[in-house]
Amino acid sequence: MLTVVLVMSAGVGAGSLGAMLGLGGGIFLVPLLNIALGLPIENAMAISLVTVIATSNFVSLSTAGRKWANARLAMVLQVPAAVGALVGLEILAFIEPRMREQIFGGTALLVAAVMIARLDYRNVLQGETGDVGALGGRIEDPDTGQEVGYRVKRLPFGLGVAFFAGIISSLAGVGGGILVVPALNSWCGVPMRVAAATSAVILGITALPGVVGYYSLGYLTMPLLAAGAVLGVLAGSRAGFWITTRVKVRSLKILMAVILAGVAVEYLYFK
Amino acid sequence: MTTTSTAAARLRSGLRLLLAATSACLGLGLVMSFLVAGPVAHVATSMVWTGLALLVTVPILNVVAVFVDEWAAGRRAFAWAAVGVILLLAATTIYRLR
Repeated sequence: MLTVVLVMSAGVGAGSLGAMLGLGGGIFLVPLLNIALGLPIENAMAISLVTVIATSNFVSLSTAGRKWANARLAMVLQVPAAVGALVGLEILAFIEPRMREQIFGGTALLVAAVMIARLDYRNVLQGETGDVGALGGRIEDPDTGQEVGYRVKRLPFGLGVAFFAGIISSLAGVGGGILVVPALNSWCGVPMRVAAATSAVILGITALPGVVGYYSLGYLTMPLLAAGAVLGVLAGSRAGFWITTRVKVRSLKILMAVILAGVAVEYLYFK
Repeated sequence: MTTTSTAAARLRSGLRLLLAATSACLGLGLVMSFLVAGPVAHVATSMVWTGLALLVTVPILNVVAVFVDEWAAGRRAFAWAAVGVILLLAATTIYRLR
């Protein structure tokens, strides 16, 4: 019972960050379940992917989530992400675990550096007259209280990152938001909060093939721990949305960069 | 951020209920598993599995809601993207569980 409570608490933290930053939370849950609780890595990844779906469900269906998420952009990115997840499941057995970790850690470090370099860059078009294109949108910016628009740029790059995020999702048992959010925000012109919510929506689909795959391979064998983690994540997601509209975008970006750097160090040196 | 058709809005209301049912199944199953033993314990485990199964159906139904939205709005390209996602997920599930 203590283990379930512990996993539930970790789920609250993962869910908060998931809703705030568009991360699935697997990046925190997998090491906790694997290293701290001693679960086999495959079981930890299976539970983690289930919680990624929980975060995504909450963001997709809550009023706050629907306000920020760009459903059309999410749908377009879900196609390469789902294909990537399938590819990831197929190549799982052919890539050395250490190499997977190094690729993931190196990418996270690079993305952290880009986020810091573009800390004060705002992807918004002021006023209501700007053309936002087929995939762009309009939001009320909590930082300024004004309605702003944004246009999606470099879509092929976003599609490529979504595909890669799908692969990473299956290989590492994480949602892939750690790649999607910075890519959408730093390169594709999407505001931070929209990128986070859109990423959270995408991650549900990205994680789904992984969950089915891990279940079919017999790794989803601890339903009580999974249930505890999911309940924690659902509670945490609510808290995450409450926080995200009350902090400045700059703070969210710094938090994201710090987490990315921490993940990079973990994967490059401690695993 | 996007206009929502009546059918999609109803579907999303249903999905919110489904998500609530998921939480209820998981919570009840979890509490029961701590409190009961013997044959009844199987009921608790079954409730948890039911909750997890409901959880993974929500993203799929959400894509269906997006399809309905985009089709109703006449944005066929996005509607077909939704169909593509559903087909990919169906193919994965069949391939993995066969």
